Amino acid sequence: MLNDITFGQFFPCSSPIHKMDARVKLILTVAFIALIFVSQNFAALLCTAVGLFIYVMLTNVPVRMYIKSLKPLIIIVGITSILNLLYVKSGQELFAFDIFGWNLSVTLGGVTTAIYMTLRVCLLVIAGSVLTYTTSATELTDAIERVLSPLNLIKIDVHSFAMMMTIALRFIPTLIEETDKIMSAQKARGADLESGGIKSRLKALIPILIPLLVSSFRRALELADAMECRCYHGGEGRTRVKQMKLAFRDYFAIVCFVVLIGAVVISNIYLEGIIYALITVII
Amino acid sequence: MALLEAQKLEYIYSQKTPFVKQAVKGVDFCVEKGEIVGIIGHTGSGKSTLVQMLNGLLKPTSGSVTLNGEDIFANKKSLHDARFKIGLVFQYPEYQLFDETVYKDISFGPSNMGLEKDEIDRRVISASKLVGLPPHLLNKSPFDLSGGEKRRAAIAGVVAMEPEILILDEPTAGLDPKGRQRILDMIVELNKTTNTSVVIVSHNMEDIAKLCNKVLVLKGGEAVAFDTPEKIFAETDIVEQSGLILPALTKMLISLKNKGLPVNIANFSVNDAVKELIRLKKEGYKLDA
Repeated sequence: MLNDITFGQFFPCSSPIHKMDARVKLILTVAFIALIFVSQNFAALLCTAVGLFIYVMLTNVPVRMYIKSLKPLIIIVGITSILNLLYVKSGQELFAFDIFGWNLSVTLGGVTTAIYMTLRVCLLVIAGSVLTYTTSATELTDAIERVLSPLNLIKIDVHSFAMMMTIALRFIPTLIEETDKIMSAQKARGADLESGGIKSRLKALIPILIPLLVSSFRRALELADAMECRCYHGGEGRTRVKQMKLAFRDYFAIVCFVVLIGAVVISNIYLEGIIYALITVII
Repeated sequence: MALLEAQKLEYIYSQKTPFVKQAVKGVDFCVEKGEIVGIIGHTGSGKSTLVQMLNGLLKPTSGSVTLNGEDIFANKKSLHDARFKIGLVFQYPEYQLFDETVYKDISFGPSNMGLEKDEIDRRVISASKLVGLPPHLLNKSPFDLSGGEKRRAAIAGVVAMEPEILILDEPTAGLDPKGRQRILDMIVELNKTTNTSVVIVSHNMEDIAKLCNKVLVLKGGEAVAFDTPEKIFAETDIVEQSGLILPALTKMLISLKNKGLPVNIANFSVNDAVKELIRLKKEGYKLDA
């Protein structure tokens, strides 16, 4: 029942992207998301989309998984697209109609805004999925800790935050498993979780939430004890088993990304007029 | 016709992902009325998955489970009824306690069955008596009990539904010897007084040998053997290939038998084994070899 959480799940397999340095992946993903919003026209967005497509193909993760990660977006993207279509008024008017005395019209500007928005959101989510599918939680938090380590200079304890994140991520599957177990156990005692009104459904959650809370606290205490027993006292002076080191593929990825930036910049500056002219001609 | 019958049960976890794993492969077995059946196997042999299919919590990938000849997965109602007729006590059941008092927690199952208040009261009292919970504990919070008491309270919660078959997944795991004995005694008493069939999952061979009429041995999700404990333990190979260790007592009797003594290895308690040895000695066999 709870196995459908795909976004943010590590997908273990072997690929050049899986082997890439997590820091590089993290920074490139953030930069890529910025790039998506900097892309001003179809040509530029096309460049980012092609770049992302090649990146996705290199991950060896089935495309099905990426499509699955887009599913939760359908409603949000649908609603905003409709609003964009109806309320953005610029450019040529394509058609107009009346509903209950409302005078609505769709313009070329509305259509392009809606398409841009949809494309951007999809690209953004897929880029995020590549990062989480190809990077294990520990690698990711480790990377975040190192990328953010300059913040130590202004007295922000990056290590503690990274540790909290690692623990939280580490316990998500455990808690899901635990919830599944408790749900099964209460179902075995005839608990009905799937029918009834809101009130009875909320009430049905009590036999699950209370044991879950109790066991979370128990686990937290046990983990704190175990950490102290191993002399954990924060990040000061801690060394690492796994040293992160940039390899050829990381430099290559950075170079590719720079090329992509170039392509987007050129599209932004020189191809603006051409694409618009093309669209107007077609319509 | 057997009370509970499982046919060609298969279960596959996480199909179509890299985590895919077949936990149960074509298992057939049955439980007759009043029987105690043991399920043994190494960690990861599919025991827990199997028992969850038996009371309809997991829907088998293929195969069927029938109770009194009726498929429990036939429709919603049959599935709902099966949950009450086939009581399942999970591993570490104490983690499922939730209510304010032990009494209320034990009554959770019976009240989900929609019983009258008097009947619920009767069942809670008799179940807690059976598992050996003193009455003064019933008004306490379940979180204030000791580990062994919590375990018994949780088992009482399932026993109070008065199922036709009680399935217990590792009921003695993590308990001290005294607590373990209490649970095992309780199982025997329940079986004797109410003729309830019992299925016990365990990897403790001694317990299984003493209690069960029949034993199902699982290995890597497959049923390796389903027979009486005497016959299964006589086949030392089956047991050891399944990653299990024979009870020390049985091992000794088998080694005597291998030396050519007419010893009956089906003596699973120390008392019985001593009697058997005395019998052999009286018949003039030398045991000090």
